[in-house]
Amino acid sequence: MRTSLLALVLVATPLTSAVSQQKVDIHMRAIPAVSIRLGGAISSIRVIGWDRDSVTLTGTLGAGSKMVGGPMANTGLVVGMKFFVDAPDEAAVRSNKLELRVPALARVWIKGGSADVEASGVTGSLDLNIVGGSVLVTGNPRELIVESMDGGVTVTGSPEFARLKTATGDIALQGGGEDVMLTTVSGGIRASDGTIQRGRFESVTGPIVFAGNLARGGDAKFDTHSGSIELRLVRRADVEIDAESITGSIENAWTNSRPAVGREGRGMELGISSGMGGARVTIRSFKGSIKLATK
Amino acid sequence: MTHLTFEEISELADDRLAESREPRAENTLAHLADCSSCRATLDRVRALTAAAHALPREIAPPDDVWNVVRARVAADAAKARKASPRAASPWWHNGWLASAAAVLLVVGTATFMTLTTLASRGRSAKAKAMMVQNAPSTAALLAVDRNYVATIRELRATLDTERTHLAPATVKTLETSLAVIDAAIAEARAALAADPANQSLVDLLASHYERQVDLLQRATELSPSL
Repeated sequence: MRTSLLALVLVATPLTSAVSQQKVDIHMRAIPAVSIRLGGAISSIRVIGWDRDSVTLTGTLGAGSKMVGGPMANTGLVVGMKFFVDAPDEAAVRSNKLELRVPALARVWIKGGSADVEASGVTGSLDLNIVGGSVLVTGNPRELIVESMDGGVTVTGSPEFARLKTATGDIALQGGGEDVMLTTVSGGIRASDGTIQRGRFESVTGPIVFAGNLARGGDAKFDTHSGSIELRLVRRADVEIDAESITGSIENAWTNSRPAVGREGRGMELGISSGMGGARVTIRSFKGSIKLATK
Repeated sequence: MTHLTFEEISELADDRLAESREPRAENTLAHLADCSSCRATLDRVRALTAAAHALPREIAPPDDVWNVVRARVAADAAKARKASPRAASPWWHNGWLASAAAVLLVVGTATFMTLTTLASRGRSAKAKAMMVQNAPSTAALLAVDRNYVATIRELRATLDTERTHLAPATVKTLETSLAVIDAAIAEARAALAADPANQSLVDLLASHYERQVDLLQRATELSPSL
């Protein structure tokens, strides 16, 4: 694989450069795990994983926009493609809308500014990086990395490995995963409808709501400074919980255990072992409230 | 998926594997290209190695510790002189030797604490929590603090040079978020100063620092005009 990668040559060809809106229409045969990199001034892009050995990139570019890049050469099938979109102004950016269809096992990397990114059906890997806009991922990618500043991130599915990060954008994971990490500064985090093997959920001021399930032997950590943390668990979940808030409150509406007053008479602590205690949960908050509830 | 062993990660970090002609080298590199978990581990090991190389060759003990050692040595020497001014003193009553031993002890402890702190930055969250949990004093916590602060200062300097290339809306989001993290760090540090043995506060403070480093790193990697 390394040898073939070294032999690749990136073909930088201006594909469009007209004054009016233009169509993008690229079709190429590719290996299943083709690597695609697409970046620049795009307002929206849909990525669709399909059961074919080809890549298509279609859509429109606004007046004055241009796209450079192309496939990486190999013997026959494309192993990689790289494109960069440039736009003269904001109006042109708004017209830059693309749709990328890739073999399901593809590895896709996208970096945009304020872009709406929608991906579905990709079982390979997705690495999506935006500033504003939004990211919506549907499906079960093996590896999912999403980084956003103020754009919201929604994932519906169960990636094996996920790293979802925002500064102010909300993060929603409707599904599970083997190794997931959701972090934000002031956005909200919500995880539900799936089983987590190993999870880490962190915010500085944003609220965290977990209403998913924990795998037997699973491990989940929740950290916040001043956001609230709410865990909704099934009544007889096999879990050990260790919760502590330095100056905030803890409310337990899940079991009969009462939280104790914390160190030096401040804050609260709560330790619970329920059922067979198969999973382990650690919750830490500085002053945000912690609540355990039944779902 | 079978992840890379620690030995393989170490070889990669030392660039020994890249130079190797062994068949496993290609498999290892191929796995690395596919596995972000192993890439993240490799990044952490490389960061740890770089941080260890950046350590000073000599670490001076804190002033207050040095003062205590000097006072104790002086007191012991005075006591020995008073008890038997002409008697042959055992070697451990010799002021210079005792001073040297004390300095070695303090420098060794300081080095260990610093290395422990740096090592904790490069390992998994669980391992890091365990390392920090073993840190016995405020000095170690201050070392953690100093290490993060230096990294953050460097990243901020880099960001300052690139700030004009970023979109105003991005800069605004960034500044707002950094201010939020700064406030949280200040609050956690103040609480830690009042309760230095509180492990949860150490964890929270480290978590805030990590958020800040991560945000700054992402900001410095943004393309112009994004």
